[in-house]
Amino acid sequence: MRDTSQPARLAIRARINLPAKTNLPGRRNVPLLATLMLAGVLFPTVEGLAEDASSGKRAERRRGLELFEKKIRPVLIEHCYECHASDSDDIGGNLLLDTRDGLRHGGDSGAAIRPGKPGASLLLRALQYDGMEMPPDEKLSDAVIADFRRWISLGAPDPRSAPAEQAEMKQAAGEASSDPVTLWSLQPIVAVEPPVIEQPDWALTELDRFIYDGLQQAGVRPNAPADPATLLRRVYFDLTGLPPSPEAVQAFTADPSPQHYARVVGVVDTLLASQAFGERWARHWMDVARYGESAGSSRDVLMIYAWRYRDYVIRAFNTDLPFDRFVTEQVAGDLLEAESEQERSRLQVATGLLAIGSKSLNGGNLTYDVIDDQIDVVSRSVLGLTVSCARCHDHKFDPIPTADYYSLAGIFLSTNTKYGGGIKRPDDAKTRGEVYVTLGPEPSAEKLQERSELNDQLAKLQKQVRASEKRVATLAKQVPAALVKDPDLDLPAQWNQKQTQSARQYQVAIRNLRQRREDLQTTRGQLESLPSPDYALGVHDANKITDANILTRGEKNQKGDRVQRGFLSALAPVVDPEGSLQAEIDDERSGRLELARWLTDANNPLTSRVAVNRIWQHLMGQGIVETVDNFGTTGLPPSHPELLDFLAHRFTHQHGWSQKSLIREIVLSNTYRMSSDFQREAYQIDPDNRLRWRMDRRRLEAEPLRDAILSVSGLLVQEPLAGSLVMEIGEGEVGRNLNTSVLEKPFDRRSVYLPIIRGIIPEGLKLFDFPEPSNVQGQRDSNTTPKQSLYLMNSPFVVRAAEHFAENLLQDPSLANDAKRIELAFLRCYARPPSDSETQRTLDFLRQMEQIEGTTDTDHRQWTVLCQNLMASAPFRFID
Amino acid sequence: MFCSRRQWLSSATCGFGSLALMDLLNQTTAAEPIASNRGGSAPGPAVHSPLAPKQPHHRASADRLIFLHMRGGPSAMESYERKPELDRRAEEQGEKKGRKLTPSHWAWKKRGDSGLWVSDLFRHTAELADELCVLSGMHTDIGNHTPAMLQLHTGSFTFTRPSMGSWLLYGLGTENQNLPGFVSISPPVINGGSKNYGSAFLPAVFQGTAIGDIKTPVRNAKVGNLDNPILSSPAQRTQLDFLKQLNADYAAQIGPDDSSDVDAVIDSFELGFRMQSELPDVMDLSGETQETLDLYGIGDGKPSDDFGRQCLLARRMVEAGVRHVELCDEFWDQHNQLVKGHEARAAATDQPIAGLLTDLRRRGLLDRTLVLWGGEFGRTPDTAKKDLDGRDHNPNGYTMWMAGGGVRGGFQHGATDELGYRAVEGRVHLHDLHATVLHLMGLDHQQLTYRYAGRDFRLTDVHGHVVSEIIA
Repeated sequence: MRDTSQPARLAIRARINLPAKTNLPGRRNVPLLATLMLAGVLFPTVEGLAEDASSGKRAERRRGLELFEKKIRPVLIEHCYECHASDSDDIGGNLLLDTRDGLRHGGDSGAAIRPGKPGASLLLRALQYDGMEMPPDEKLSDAVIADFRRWISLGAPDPRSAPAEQAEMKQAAGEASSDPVTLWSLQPIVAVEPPVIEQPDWALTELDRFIYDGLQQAGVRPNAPADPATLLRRVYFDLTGLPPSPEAVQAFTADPSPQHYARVVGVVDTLLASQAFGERWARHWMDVARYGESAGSSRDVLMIYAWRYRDYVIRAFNTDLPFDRFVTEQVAGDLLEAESEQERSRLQVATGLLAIGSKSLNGGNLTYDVIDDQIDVVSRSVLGLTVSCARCHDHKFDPIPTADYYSLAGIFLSTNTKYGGGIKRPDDAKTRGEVYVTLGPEPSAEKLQERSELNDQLAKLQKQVRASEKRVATLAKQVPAALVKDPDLDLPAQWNQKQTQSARQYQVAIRNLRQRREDLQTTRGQLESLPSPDYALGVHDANKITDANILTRGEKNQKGDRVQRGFLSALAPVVDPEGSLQAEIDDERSGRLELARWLTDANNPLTSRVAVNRIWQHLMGQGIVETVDNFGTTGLPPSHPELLDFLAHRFTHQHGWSQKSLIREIVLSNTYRMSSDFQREAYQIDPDNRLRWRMDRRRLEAEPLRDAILSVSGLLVQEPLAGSLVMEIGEGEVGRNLNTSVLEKPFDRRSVYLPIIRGIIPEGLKLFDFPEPSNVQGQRDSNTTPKQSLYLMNSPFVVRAAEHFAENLLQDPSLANDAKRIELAFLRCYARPPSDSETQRTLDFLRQMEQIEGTTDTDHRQWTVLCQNLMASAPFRFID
Repeated sequence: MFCSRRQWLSSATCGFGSLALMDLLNQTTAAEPIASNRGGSAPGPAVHSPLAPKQPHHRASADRLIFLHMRGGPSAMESYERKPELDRRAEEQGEKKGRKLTPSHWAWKKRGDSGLWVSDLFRHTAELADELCVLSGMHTDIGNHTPAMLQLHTGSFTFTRPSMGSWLLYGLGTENQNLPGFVSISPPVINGGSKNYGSAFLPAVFQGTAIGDIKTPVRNAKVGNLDNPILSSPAQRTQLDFLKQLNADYAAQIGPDDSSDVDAVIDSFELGFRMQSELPDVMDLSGETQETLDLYGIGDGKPSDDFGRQCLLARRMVEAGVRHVELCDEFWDQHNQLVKGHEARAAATDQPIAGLLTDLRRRGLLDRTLVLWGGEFGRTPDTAKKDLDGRDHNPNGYTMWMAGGGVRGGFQHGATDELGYRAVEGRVHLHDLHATVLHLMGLDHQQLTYRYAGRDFRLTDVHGHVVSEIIA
């Protein structure tokens, strides 16, 4: 163990400072390590796994390894390393217990253990206080000693010398080499042949063979397929984020024969073709695109056209835009050829990715902060690398020097980012044109002139109207009430001169006011009839194209060397080795197009790996690489590296970067189909299901939960929302005279259309682990909190949905009785009918509620409460 | 070694998961020091929630934190840092042309046994001078309200980072699961708004709970979703019993070895049900005596009514086991009409703050409750105003104070130069303040890390030193 490594450091600190019984932080890794090492597929070089021919012996060794991780290693760390580790101050008896070799070769007294021969092992004798007494301060418990005996008799398998562990240790130490040659994710993708497996029938797709092989090597049995209803519900939520209708459930489950799976294909294809698919999958991408509709940070200025980017993403998924093209458009859409104005607009909107980030409009170093955000979002969403770590210094863990950061920074420094007005409200066509990108044909100079004149006129008229209103109000106090009531009154002759005079003035003022109001109306109409350009957030190349200087420690006043615009040097041996893309960046271009080409180059090993891993995660609950946004040294290694490469290669070569095709392939695999049932034996070996012996049981994220509530209650408005509530609110800053009352109104569209104002995230999202929209986050947390419960128990939204749900059930003439109503409610919520006892219990509950609350013809509160309970319940909120 | 957020949370939230983990580790210790999400915290078997109390890194001298946030930047030379030289050189030109030195507008006295100087602006709080640990060498990086507020609360004004309260919850959990662990009472909607109590990349469970906002008198503030719009309480109990049944059926179907997530759901409804009675109870001041209300300056028409209520709420909350409560008063930003403005703010806050300290002390809570007072920055010794009645933003030298929770009372640490332009002695940067607060709460700011985006983040980023001089 290196003393510069963090676990070692922590362990040492713990040994020195903490009482003996205290836990060692270093041991925290044990379950994970055990899992990884038990996964033969991951590190086939782990001792014994490859060389042992007989599976019996392999199983024995596996048990031994497992025992080592569970029982032996922790004891060694806690009780022995203080004196018997390479970083101990004075190594006792020259015996090292922190390596396999040390244990086997022993110290001054000879070998500490003889594998398979506990009786002949010195270590065991010392533990038993037989001749030697170790550890010296207190004898270990009999149970622990028995563990050691068993481990030695199993052959004392010890993974600590395996290269795998070295890599693990290095990673944990956060000091992995920055040698690109060793970082697995930067290696070229190799087209891997799926392994031959004993039970070829198990594999419905080629990817299944990797999974089966891994399970078999670990001695783990895969689960049987999920029952049809469970599978259907899973497929619906995964592909569309909505539950299946009772009709869909009935159609799918009517035939109990195993052939029902054949029908999955039809269902999957239908769902992939639905509008709902894009609405579900766009949101996944919006998490990594840190989508938001306001500046967030210091001054939360609304970005009222951000929604166009949202719609772009939804459409990209629904039209199955190839992923390489999808990336290219978002990085450099404005620089691509377009055949029509419409297409040009679509491409321009795509660049919204670079403009919708959070930004500190007040304080900081706006230009470079925006660039940092752009580098961050591109590098993490597409490459899974944390390039922005290199803003102030060379990346500590990954092979990314600061120079690389600034070669990318030059590209964005040569890019003009249009994200709206900032602190100044852009309230006329001229300023809007300056702070947004304009969509559609540029308005002519005359039209712009006309608009500007009309705007001026409008402002003038508004002023006059206000003045007139004031004058009328003043005069109204001086004239008889009869005249105020009817300003057009013929003035009575008996009024004296003074009265008549003021009455005339009043009437003139009224006429003026009317006229001005009319003119105002006309001007407004004229303005509205002018063809109005559409605006969006996005980027285009700046007028001034320039390379960036390295800023020492990221400080803008500390300019260092100027670096040529370009890409990541660590990938140069694999992607674009001649540097021809970089060479193409000339003095007139930002280099974004070249960057996009480099990102989506067929040889770029990260882009496709990262993309397929994200898809896998959304369908399986966890990625092949768990740290989906981090494929660098500090990320976790893949559980199935060969499968990852197989999928990545297939994605680019067979599927032509089609995300739908890849999703389809995974959903139709046997791996996807398995039940989520618990299996004790498998769990003991692989508690985190890294080997995929079952489907992960997953919690519905915020959006599908909310959408499911809307859907089953019958409130959901399926039509896409045109625009956004943020646009309805208009330009301005949260908390500064901004009328946000529209946010309080019921909103029954799908959650992807909810307004994402960074400072006012809708409660139904925020409480359920919606990611911070200022940060790239490809993986959702999954917490259970009392505040979620309170939301489901009491929030007006859920109660309203429950009332609607209940009304639906009660007013459905096809439902003959309460049992039928209960059946439909269960079908909607759980995609299965209730059992007889469930029906009975539910009926009992309804009666009980009726007794407590009473009921009337119009108030069927007990049904509302029932519906609410179904929607709040765990089986509704989980996907099996 | 590290695990992912998901792994960590599942190990921290699952009954069975943690049991299994315990078994793997062959140990029975209940709580263990939290180091980071990489090391992960694996609370004891009975623990279901990531908010369960966790053992600190070292022995804490404070268990709870109350932050009295004076938004806008109160003036040090009007309150806690006496500047005779400034008075002497009144009306002379300041450091820049067109600016004149402004004398202090209030009389100064030595207070208490310690003889700490406190001006008559805060004559109530002055009575408690022996409890105050005045930090007069404060400085921060920026002099605009918004970024300064964000830096005060999160350590950073350029990036979205977790607030101090979220870090505290992440590191320590909270004692009373029936109440939110981190409450921000009457927070401003602008100047970073909810970012000031947000959790950023920390799991959302650690975000602060806002009660009302700065524009709403706290007596009218409501916490959402605490009342069912249609059901009586007994009916809701019946509802929840049936819900429990639905969940228990599901848990049974899954099997006891695998149902920890569902068990957590069952628990969360029970906790929610308790929270909806306990939180309103805590917020209900009607059981307090007239003497207490008077102590806090609470009463119709009194200028101190609102902040008095905030302070009393804070006491009730920390008493009930809330980890961190932040209160807010605004707007201390007197570029002009300083006398009138500060007088009004003092009228609103002075008595309540003195009341809070007194009340905490007599209830034996002050020892273990850290109270922190201050704004996002301070004010300049000079002004461009001809009438000398104003001061501008000064991030380079200002005063905050702490009380209780293991700090030295009746003590002044640090100083600005003789006029008050910048901190020169005992300089405490906001990062140092954060490090010190964490330290007093039992956390090592260098060890309290969270792995996000490929690296370990801290409240203090790469900065921060514990100000050991102020620790009792």
